[in-house]
Amino acid sequence: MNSKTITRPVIRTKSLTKIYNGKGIPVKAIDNVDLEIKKGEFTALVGPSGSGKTTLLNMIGGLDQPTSGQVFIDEQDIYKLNNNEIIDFRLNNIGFVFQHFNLLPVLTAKENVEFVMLLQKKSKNERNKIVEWLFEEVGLTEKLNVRPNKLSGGQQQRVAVARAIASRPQFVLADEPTANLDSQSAADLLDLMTKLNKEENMTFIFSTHDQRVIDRARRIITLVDGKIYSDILQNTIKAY
Amino acid sequence: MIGSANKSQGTRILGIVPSEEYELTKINDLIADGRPLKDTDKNKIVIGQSLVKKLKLKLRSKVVLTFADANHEIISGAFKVVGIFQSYNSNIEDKICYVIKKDLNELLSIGNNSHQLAILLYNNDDLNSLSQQLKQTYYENQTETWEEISPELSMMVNSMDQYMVIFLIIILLALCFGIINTMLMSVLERIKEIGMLMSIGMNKTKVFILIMIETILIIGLAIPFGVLLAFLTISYFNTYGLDLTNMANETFREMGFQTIIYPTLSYTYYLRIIFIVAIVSFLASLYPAYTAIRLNPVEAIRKN
Ligand SMILES: Nc1ncnc2c1ncn2[C@@H]1O[C@H](COP(=O)(O)OP(=O)(O)O)[C@@H](O)[C@H]1O
Ligand SMILES: [Mg+2]
Repeated sequence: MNSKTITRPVIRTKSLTKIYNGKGIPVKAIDNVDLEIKKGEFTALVGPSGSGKTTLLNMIGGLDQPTSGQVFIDEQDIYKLNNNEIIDFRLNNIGFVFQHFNLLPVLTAKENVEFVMLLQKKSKNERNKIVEWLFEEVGLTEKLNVRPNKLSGGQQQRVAVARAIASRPQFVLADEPTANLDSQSAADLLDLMTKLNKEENMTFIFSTHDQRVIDRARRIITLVDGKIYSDILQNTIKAY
Repeated sequence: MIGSANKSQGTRILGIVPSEEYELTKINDLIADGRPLKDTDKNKIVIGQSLVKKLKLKLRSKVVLTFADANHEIISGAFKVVGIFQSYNSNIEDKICYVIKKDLNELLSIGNNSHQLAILLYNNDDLNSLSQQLKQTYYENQTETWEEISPELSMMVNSMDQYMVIFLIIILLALCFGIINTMLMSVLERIKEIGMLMSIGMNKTKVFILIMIETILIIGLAIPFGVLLAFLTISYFNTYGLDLTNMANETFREMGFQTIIYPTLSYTYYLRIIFIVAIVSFLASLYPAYTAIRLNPVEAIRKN
């Protein structure tokens, strides 16, 4: 186990429930979920389509108001924050990688990564230092000034990972980050996330239904019908 | 009275100084046949088209003008037709004919006197002050403004101004909807983009400002372009004239308007329009910006 793993949970949910009132019949997308994620964990959220993975990630990420229950991040009940406070909280504490549409098409890769730091009002010096380090990490130093449409899907997702950790968040939420990638690019992205997890102790929670991605996770939480079906730690991590 | 070999009829005879007259009334442009009068002409006359028909005249015909002189004695003189004009005001075509002022004065034996002095102002705003001044210093009862001579024209010009305000309001409304439409499209096209920005931590104030700045940039580009276009169009027609002959010849002639228009627009008008357009655009951009901040980021990013 990683020596830096501390027992303090960075994320804690309490009786978290989300009910959608779609077309007439209410859907319990997340049903009474109690969950703790510790700093430095590398967690896969798995389960069939419609099992509530996206809903759970969005609620943890402060994007979607729960119907009942609470989400604590560093013991802060995030849904007690007002509208703009929660956006600022996301800016400084949570990194996001989405399945599609992560990058602004009009900005270069570098500018996309810089953007969050601009929102954080970091100095130009600091921004440049972090950009340089991150592009080194994600292996795209030559693509700094390239626009997203000139990057492959895998490269775009790596820039998205760089963007997500540029703000130095507490953890990164990634909703099916490999869903649109071929298996080689998916493996590369997982390599990158694993490396950042090991070297920087960055906490990752990603949803997936790709078995090869699941095999790379240390902790696997399985959702079925909005409930936690199983939650296991695996010691032997397969590599592809 | 003007008479030909066949017929005679009453008319007004105007003695003009051609070079000066043409500066003001441009009647030399109205010549349909023959040529306009020249300063050096002697006993030549220019008459209207309808008079030509009535008196069965043609170019180079002789006509006899008969009238009373200053001593109430009847006198007459022979004149040769050198030009035929077609007036933009069909009513005056057979009621006026033009001769050289010098010829007329000789017949009337009134030396170098004049009966009428027309003053063309650069700016219509000076109209009342100047006419007031003239009345006080020189011609108490003999100074008339164009508004007094032609009250129906003055009324029309005023109601035209009111129409312009209505047109302006309609155009500004169109502008308003144009901007709302453009910016709303631009917001809705980028729902995912804006949702993503809000998710990663761009707050509503910043999103609002972003949309406002985009609108201001569009307007900032569009205004100079529009003003330049307006300036060029107006300058062109100011020089070459906007010819409405084919559109409304008869209507205009009946009302006594020239069918070629030479538009002008003062720079204060430009400034006023720029100001109004800027304000209207600013107000119109509020709604798209408001729509953008009401987006729910979850729904925005869930859409595929
Ligand atoms: N905006 C919504 N309105 C109504 N129902 C929704 C909405 N979003 C998700 N759901 C429903 O909630 C359930 C969980 O969805 P989701 O979290 O997207 O699952 P997953 O990401 O595991 O595929 C599904 O049954 C889905 O239909
Ligand atoms: Mg999903």
